[in-house]
Amino acid sequence: MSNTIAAGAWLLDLGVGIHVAVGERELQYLLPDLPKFTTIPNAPSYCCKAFVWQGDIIPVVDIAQLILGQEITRLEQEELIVLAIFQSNDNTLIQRGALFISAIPSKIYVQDQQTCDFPPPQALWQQLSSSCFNHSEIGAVPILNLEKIFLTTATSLWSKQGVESFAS
Amino acid sequence: MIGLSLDANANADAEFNSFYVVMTIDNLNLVVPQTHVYALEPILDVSYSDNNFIGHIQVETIVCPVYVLSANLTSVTSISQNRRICVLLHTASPISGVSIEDFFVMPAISDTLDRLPPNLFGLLCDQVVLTEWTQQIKVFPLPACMRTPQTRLRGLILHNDNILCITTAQDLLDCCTTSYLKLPIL
Repeated sequence: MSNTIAAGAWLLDLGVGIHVAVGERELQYLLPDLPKFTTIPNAPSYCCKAFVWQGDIIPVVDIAQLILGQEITRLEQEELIVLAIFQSNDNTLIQRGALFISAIPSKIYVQDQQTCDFPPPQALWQQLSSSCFNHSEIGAVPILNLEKIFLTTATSLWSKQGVESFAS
Repeated sequence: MIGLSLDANANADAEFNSFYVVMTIDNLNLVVPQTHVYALEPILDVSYSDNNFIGHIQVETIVCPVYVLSANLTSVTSISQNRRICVLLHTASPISGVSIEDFFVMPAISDTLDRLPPNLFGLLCDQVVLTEWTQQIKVFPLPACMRTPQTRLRGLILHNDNILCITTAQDLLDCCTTSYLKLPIL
């Protein structure tokens, strides 16, 4: 019998064949309906929408669009929003952000032995994720680093990554 | 000159951090201090040209450029039928480099409004609401993931479940006159 401990996580289907995971305590709420979005001018197209939730303004990131570098068209019934919570390194207040997903999240358990390399584009996934594991059916699944995604400016992401790989 | 002129002298003793103008451009609601607005004019008073601005408007002895912005705050040369009001903005107030906190304690600029302010320009909007927020308003910083070099917002305000974008006359003038380099994904 193995002594390895499995960590709980949520598997998120982003559509267009892209899956990611977040920690089991990082997912707060699956919105039953699409909220009323406000488009923020001059924000990156993968993160230009925000909505109001319980007196807070929540930015929405479309990770699939960020990875593919093009707008993602989802069927209405396949467009869902999950609310995620995260904390910055300096242990300040818990903050919220939202992600576009295409299916209801499923609970999974991940073990250290499942660690694997990031899928392409590797450099970009490294920017957005803390690690990656191999799912028996899906393959490599990056585990999102929500702090990096929501607390890093688009400019910083681009300058670290280099524009070429994004545009390809 | 017809239209509503905003006399800052009349508000010299008022709290300048509570008077704002909410300008609507398509689905975008922009908030600027009333001290950045010189006057409101009907769009009928705008004369059109084929320059990099869409036209001009005469204010006393000065001819001011008039611009049109999209809801993404990029300069456009076509005019939507929704644009009905020309907001005359000026950049005379000390607004460069202010923080969000400074923004809400903007000093009075009644002295500069005793005469026609410099850097006067027109911006076409769908709707303009002059408002005084008597309650404490909560200002949210623009989320980091939404910031780009093109960002011209100082923050966000949540008002009646609507998200309003805080900006300044200078920021809007920059949007009107600057052609930004676009990142490939944007």
